[in-house]
Amino acid sequence: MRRINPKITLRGFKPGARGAAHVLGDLETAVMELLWREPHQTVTEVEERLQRGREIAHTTVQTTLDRMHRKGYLTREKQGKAFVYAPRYTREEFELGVAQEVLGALLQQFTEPALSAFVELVSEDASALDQLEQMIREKRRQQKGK
Amino acid sequence: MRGAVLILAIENFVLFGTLFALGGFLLAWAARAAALRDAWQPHPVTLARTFTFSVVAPPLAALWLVAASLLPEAWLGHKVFDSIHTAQHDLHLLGLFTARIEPTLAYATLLFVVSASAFALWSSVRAHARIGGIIKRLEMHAQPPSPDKVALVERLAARHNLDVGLVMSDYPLSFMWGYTRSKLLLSSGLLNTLTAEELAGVLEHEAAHHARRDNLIKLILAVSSRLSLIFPLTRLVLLWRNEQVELICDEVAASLTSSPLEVASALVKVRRGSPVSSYSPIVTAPGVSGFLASDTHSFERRVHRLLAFTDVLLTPAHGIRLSQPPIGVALAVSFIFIFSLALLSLLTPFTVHWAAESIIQIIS
Repeated sequence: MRRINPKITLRGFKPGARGAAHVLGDLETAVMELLWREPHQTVTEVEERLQRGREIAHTTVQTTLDRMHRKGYLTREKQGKAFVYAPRYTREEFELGVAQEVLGALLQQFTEPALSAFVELVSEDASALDQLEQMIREKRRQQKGK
Repeated sequence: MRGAVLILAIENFVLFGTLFALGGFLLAWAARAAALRDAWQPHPVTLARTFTFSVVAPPLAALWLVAASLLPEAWLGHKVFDSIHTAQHDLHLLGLFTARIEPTLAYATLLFVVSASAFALWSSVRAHARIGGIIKRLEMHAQPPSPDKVALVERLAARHNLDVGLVMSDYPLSFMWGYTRSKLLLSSGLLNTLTAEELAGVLEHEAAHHARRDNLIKLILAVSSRLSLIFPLTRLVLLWRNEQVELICDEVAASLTSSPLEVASALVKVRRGSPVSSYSPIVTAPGVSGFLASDTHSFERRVHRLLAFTDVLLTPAHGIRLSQPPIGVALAVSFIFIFSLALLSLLTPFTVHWAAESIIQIIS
């Protein structure tokens, strides 16, 4: 399962928000939404599209894109004099990463007495699980045969 | 004077408790080693009780010993006490061992007990709040579960008088949260991943935790485990005990659903769908790496045991018996503790005091 790298910080997590807005600010969410729809855009292009919905300064867009690149949410390539930005992860990958971070924080509490989990969430060898599944199927067949 | 006696009592409680806890740990370790090597084949209930005993008995015994040793002075008054007890030493029980480093040791143990208790309380409250916060945050983009599965959950939850929270997450998650009024948290991913029969197995498993008051017992054991200087070892016993508790709840689920195979299948599906994370304290905590390997085996043991149940007749009555909370045992222990203490204080107030001193003198 792929992880977002660098890790998404939970400190800025906003309960009640949806999707990427869980961890991103308003402007960052708008930028991500925009780049998920139309990747590979320059600062000016992002600014033009954002200007349709809000008043925003060129330097604010530039700083935001640069910060998101440093956080690892965006990739960028130099084309001529300008940087072209694109999301590093698809929407699904990003939301999966957020979910993993939240669940990771939950896992840290699993030895606390307040919690009893059905299955401890630690890594399991896939082949071992295949083997166990095979045994269950075999038992089912035996039961049906009786 | 009263303050000095209190410090003395706490010091002796911690030091005797540590000695007993070491014995408790060795007992638990031996029991687990024998069970893993098939030299002893106890029912998980027996093994879980052995682990519980090894965690709870040491602080209880230390408390009993200290109370029985120090009560006579409070009970009889200083004059009578001094006229009967003529031995000249300022600090009883461990006095012979610790006279040279008193009162530093007394203050150190007092500081330890206060900070360990404060830390245990703070971390439990913090964990409770943090889990609550995280659960609120788990609402993610997820496939809504089918209405018939939701109806099944509602039906079984009503039967067991369970509060249920549904978390929108594609990961299959299921856990009981809280101490007194536990809440069952299920994810939409769990409802979507499992068949109705498997889901019923998971719900019966979780309902067994609720009926047995497992989280509350875990809290009591967690606090008990902090009352000695070897609490990292005692914590390990709690992890071993958790394995047995899971086996018991699996057995309850298999008995009440009459479908051990479905419970086994649910286990494997949930394990496969769980996010593999490096965050698990069992994986990352230093000093418990040995447990990781056995943890993987413990999961396999759960599945193998459920498969073995397909050849055994498990009745619902058996499951109900296993899900009873240990109220009787708790009451019996409390009664024996108080009754024996009262009886000794009234009839032979100095017996324990002198016995403890004699043992220490023999050792020293």
